[in-house]
Amino acid sequence: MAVLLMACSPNQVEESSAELYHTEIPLKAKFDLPSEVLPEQEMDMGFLLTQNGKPVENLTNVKLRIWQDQHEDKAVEVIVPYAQDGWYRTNMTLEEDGIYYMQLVANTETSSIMPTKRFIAGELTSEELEQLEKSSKTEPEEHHHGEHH
Amino acid sequence: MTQREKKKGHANIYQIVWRWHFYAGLIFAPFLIILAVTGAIYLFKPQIEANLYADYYQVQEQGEKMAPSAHIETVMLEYPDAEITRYRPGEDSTRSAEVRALVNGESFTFFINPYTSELIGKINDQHRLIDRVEEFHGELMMGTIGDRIVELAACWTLILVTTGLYIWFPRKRKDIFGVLLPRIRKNKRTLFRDMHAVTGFWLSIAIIFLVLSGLLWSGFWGTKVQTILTNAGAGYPPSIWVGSAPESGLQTKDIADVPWSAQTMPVPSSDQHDGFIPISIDEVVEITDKENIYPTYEVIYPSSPEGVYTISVFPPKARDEATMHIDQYSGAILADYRFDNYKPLGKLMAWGITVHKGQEYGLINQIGGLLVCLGIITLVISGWIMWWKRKPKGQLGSPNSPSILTKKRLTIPLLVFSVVFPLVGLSVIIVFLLDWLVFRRIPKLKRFFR
Repeated sequence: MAVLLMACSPNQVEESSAELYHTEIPLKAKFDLPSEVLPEQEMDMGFLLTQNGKPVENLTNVKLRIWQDQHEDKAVEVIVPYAQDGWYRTNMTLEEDGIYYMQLVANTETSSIMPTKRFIAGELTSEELEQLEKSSKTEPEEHHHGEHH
Repeated sequence: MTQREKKKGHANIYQIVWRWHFYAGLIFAPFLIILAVTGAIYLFKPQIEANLYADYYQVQEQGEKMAPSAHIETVMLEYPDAEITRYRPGEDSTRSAEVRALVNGESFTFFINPYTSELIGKINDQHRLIDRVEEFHGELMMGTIGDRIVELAACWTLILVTTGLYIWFPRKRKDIFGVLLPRIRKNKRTLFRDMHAVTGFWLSIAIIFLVLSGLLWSGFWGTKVQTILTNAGAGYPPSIWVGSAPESGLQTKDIADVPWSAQTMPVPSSDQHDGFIPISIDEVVEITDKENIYPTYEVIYPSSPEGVYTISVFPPKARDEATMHIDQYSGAILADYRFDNYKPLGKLMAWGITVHKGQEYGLINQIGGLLVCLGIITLVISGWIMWWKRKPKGQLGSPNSPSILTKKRLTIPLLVFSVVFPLVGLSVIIVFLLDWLVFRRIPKLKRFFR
């Protein structure tokens, strides 16, 4: 028996093996944003929340934080109301051109998420472009780890 | 079969077992000494490191700790090209935070005062004494080849223990002296014999335990066993020992493109997920601290754009272990494996590993481990002395016996063992080939090995 097990077993852990153990059901968010964001123009935003492939309905605590680059302390925070079919919708008008971030914060009893997206409104100054390039370089690239304890 | 033939058969088996015990001991004794000495040191890792790095570990409590990002910023200011690989917040109010980073391809640990974000000191991870001892213990500092040699030595140790027990087994003697207790006042020869046999008997279970739990670390057998058990849903969940972590995933399909308005602008490398940016280390620590994880945890940074933040902690007691994977973009916990989520064999292995390391039961565990290490050294030395005293000049002095192939009662167990531990099987084949092709054909060698 042991012989057969040893000889016939694959050397790789099968991806499906995770299902044999305790699993999490993470919340997933899909962002629906206008293809172009301009200052002083209303921006409609939609967020689809799903868990286990099913829409998550009627959450009352879905929050959206928006801030301009370098000014997270002045972030604007709004509750995003539920629309339908798992979609949460709101709108907002940005005053200035620039680099912005939006963070969606959503919680169910079993999962919490806080995806953050960077976007640009209007035109960027050359300074901002430089800043953008710089920040993109400091974000995690390839690391090497994986040693055992 | 007459009574006499039967007796002779038993005598032959005894001789064969002894011969195998002799050769296995002779060849693997040096490795056993290495394993026992390095193991004895490694057992006291917590005390040794707390002492060696006391200046780096200890900080004065003063007000509120600064954010993890501030600790990392300290390292980045000093080494702008550093690649952060791990962050360890520190388990209590007087423990420094640790940032691990690759600087020019070398891994360093930076110790940071969590209250002021000052750099207390740094260690090149290659210079960590205990890590090198561990490397010696696990792979003789020889990488994969060393790992295989240690595995082979460990497997042969099982053969040494079983053959040893067979030889030790009292056939006639009723006296507990020489069996369960050593005869100290008899001659020296008896003393060394008892030092070997009686100690060996008492340590046999402990040695088998250390070998089996230790084999779980081995690159060949251990990985294979872990893979089989994980796949069968009987061991550790994937990604703790074998198998990969889940991937960070966002539903990128159908997401309206966020405008990168200036066409000439290079697309930032973080833009792989349509402008989603990784959550900050502060957020990772915040998420983790809500999950009731043992406080000595460390955060392992994602190794690729699809990678995850992994929270990993292997405290002294197996029941406190945790491995958690966090989506680097959404912050969702993708997997959260605790000891309770291990399957029965996984739990058993986890317990075996912490006991092997001398951590599960604190000081008693360490002292127990140390005694076994000293016992193994005693076994090797007394074995050597017995051999040296008996060895004729110009000969190895190995016990003479017929070939193991003449006894089914021995070949079958050897065959089974060789299959369960394939490296042993391979080494047995090599020994037979050497014997057949070389030792038997060269008279001088034949005489030497008899």
